[in-house]
Amino acid sequence: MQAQAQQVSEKQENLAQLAGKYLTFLLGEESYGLEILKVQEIIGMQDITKIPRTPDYVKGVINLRGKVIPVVDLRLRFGMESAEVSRKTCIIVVQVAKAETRVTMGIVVDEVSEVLEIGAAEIEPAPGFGTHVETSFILGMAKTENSVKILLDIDKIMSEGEMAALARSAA
Amino acid sequence: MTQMQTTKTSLKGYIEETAEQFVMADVSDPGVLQTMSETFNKVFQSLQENFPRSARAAQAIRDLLLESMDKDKPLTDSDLQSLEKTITALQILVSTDVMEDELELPESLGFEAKGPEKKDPLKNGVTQLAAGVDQEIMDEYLAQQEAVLAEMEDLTLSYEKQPDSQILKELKRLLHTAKGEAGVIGLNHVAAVCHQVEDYIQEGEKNLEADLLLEFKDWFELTVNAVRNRSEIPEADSLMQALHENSGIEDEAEQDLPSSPDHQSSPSTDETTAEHAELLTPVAIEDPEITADFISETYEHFELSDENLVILENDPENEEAIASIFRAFHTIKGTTSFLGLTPISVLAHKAENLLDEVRKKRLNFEGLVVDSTFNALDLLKKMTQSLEEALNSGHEFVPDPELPSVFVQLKKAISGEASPGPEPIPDDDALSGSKEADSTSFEKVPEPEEHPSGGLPGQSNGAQAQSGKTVKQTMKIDADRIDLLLETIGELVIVESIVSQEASLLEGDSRDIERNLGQLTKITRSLQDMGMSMRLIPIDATFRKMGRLVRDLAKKSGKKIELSMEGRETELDKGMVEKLGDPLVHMIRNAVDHGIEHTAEDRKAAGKDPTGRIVLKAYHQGGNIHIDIMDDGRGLDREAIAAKAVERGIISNPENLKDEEIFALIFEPGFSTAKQVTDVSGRGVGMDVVKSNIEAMRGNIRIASTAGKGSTFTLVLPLTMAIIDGMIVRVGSERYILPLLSIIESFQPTKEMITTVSGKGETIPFRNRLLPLFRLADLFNINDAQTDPAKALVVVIEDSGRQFALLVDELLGQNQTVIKNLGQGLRDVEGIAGASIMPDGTPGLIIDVNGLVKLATA
Repeated sequence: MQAQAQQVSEKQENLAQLAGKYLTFLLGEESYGLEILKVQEIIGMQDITKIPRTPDYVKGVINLRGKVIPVVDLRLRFGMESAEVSRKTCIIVVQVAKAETRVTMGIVVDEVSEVLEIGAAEIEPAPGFGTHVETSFILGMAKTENSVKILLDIDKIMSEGEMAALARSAA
Repeated sequence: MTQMQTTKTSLKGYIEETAEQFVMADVSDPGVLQTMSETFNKVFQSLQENFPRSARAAQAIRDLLLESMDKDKPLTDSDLQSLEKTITALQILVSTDVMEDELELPESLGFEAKGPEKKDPLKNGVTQLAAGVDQEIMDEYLAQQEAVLAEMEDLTLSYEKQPDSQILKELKRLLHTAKGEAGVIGLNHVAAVCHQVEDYIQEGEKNLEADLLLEFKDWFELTVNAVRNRSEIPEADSLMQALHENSGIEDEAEQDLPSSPDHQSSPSTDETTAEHAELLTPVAIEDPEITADFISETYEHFELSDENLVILENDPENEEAIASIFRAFHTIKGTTSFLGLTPISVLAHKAENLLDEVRKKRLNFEGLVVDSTFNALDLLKKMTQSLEEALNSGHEFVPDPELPSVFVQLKKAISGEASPGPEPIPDDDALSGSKEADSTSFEKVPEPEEHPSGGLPGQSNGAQAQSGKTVKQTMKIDADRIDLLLETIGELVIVESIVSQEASLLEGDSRDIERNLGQLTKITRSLQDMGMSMRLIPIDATFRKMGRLVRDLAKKSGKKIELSMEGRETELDKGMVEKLGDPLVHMIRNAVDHGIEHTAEDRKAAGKDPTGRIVLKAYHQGGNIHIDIMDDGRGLDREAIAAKAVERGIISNPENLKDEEIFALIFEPGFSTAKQVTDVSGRGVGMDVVKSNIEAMRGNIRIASTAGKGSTFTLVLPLTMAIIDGMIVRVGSERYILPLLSIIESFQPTKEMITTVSGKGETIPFRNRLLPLFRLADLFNINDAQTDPAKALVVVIEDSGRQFALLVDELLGQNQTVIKNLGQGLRDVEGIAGASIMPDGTPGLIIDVNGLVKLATA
């Protein structure tokens, strides 16, 4: 019992640390949040060079001012239906922590909404079900005035281990 | 003990201050003398209790300074030396834990020379830097030793091959320099060992054990590394022991150091012709790199001095100008004496003395003083020029025969002999006249000795190239910065090609835009070339290591093997030179162990020279670098390799395969380690490692071998790893870049050419052989590709000796671009080596031929 209580309080503490600014975006009807510190920039959709023998959610690579960076379709990553590219579709360039280094990657989302300040009081732990997203990718849920935002752990989503494993299973 | 420590700490400030004053200030200034004597007085008093010996030295110096002030008598050179020595000793005393008795105090002050009873310097386990040696000097020293080590090994190996007094001379010179430098830096034990080896060479003359010398070299290398890592210096007891036993002589007193300039310029008057003659002996240039730096620096001094001399002629009182020339001479003196260029340093010293007199207003800058200063400067210029020539040609530096006459003139000027009146200006004629008078004693000046380049072409090339260094301004730059620059240039190249192909720019027929774009392209290309060349270094260093390797391996296996090297000056990317080391070691080891016959008898029986030959050769060919590793041994055993490969199921019918393809099988992982094959075929260990290393550099290995005659392994490497020469191919809507290095040929197939083998795979004939045909569209799962081979194109590619046909839709053209990785999140995509930005700005994928073949045959 006590151990459980301790766990809960630890969790709460962790949740408190999550307070801060988030870039929110849409995938279909769902609204997600990305820690603003992880976001490098937002660019429009552009031609993506396909990479053979990679899972379908790896859209390919783009040229970001001379740097080649991989781009991942978040819809496909979460097992959602892929969507038509629209005027609002864009690529969020994020800095993902991998081992000791930071890797630059792009993620394709339906639409970028806004930057929100989310307080510790608004954040709740992730429920065990009810989203397209595996709960291990979720930092927490934020209840804002009129919606719930799913706060994503982008490091986990893009970690090479995950990608490599998937790449192998797809090959 | 603690009290002693306190004394040391409290004195530190004073001593540092004095040291600084001594270096920076003018010791002939009474004010400076005053302060210094006061400091020494304080030092003396504080030292008295705990450090009687040092105190005595401080006292003596104090008295010396006071005497000089009282009698208005300038400090003599020997006084200055004593002063310098004492300061150094005191610096050591206060900043280290050294015992007082070990300090080296000036003999001129009545201290015994540090002689026989000095503590064995070898027992100093831990690096102790001499006072005043900062990290920068240390780094410089360590960097230099790398070259010294390489040369030492080189020389030893050539000596072993062919004992030659010239080589010994070089070796001795090298050791001598090493000894001196070690001494300067405070590595006294290293200096002692060097000294011992020097003695050994001296005594042994013709009968030297190369092993012993190499052992010394190895020890020295370990020591240098230890100093670099600040770890314990390896002990040298056994080495010293061996040296002792071999030379059979007792350690002698310090060998004569090259006569110091101060020695010769002592105010004593009888400078004999013999002394001059000594100064005229040719001097070997000890350190080409520093000498080159010195030369370029000195030219600047000359320019400045010329300017100042002209000012002085018009305004003899201009103190600033005098001081400036004085400084120039002083600097030249310092550097040349360090470089062992005694003739130049003595001349600079004498000229400096003369100007010192002028500076102190004891002489007026007029008449002979002016002339001799001009002459001295001219001669310095002349000698610097001949030094430069000597450096560039790799010869010894021959001092100018005019030296003595200028000396005489300088002496006259300094003693004020010449009446400051209308003394005729000694022009060139006058000088040559005096030269003639002395000429009998100078005619015997030996001719500059030829560098030993004739006898050993392969070995001496490097040394020659090294000493033949041209005088250039150089700059050390952080490698990261160069990489960043290259990266930026790479981006420029991409943007340039995007802009150049921008259709809207070319639509209107503006000639200006067209011309400017052309110009832009040209500049961008040359910038790219320049950037690339910054990373290129000669392969020499890597080759040198192989010399030692072959020698050691041959010795171990009891074979007689000669290694020759060609093209050591061939330049390639720095990163590649480093990565080449391991594969070369593997291949050389194989050549020695398995390539060359086991016994000389075997070789004789085969009608070959009992001495095996291995040739390492680097050269450019078709935009690539080729490195050949040739041996004249047994060659590869085709049958054995084929049998083994069949047994392992790698191939099925060896009869169809070319030799090259069979030989390439030795690169199969695990194949090489199989004992049976190694024994039979002769080659083996670690070839897959070699292959993967070379492939990591996007290179290729080719093998040619004739049974009984020998084998040649050729490494084909791109000039640089940063840029790829590629062919853009289209498959459906996708485009890929194929490395040009792997492409053999491309052709349009007909439907009839393609045969299906038991429904499994397709083959196509090429040069009378059937090659497996792979469709890139299938391998990469591309849907919209051309399925009719007759409408597509076949590209024949090669992967380490094996050829394959690849079906693509069309070739779009060649391009040269900077290679980028796929982004760190996406590594190890099968069949893709990396990405590159295409002319339209989108990333293009570079095909990894080896990976592709693996993919296709999996």
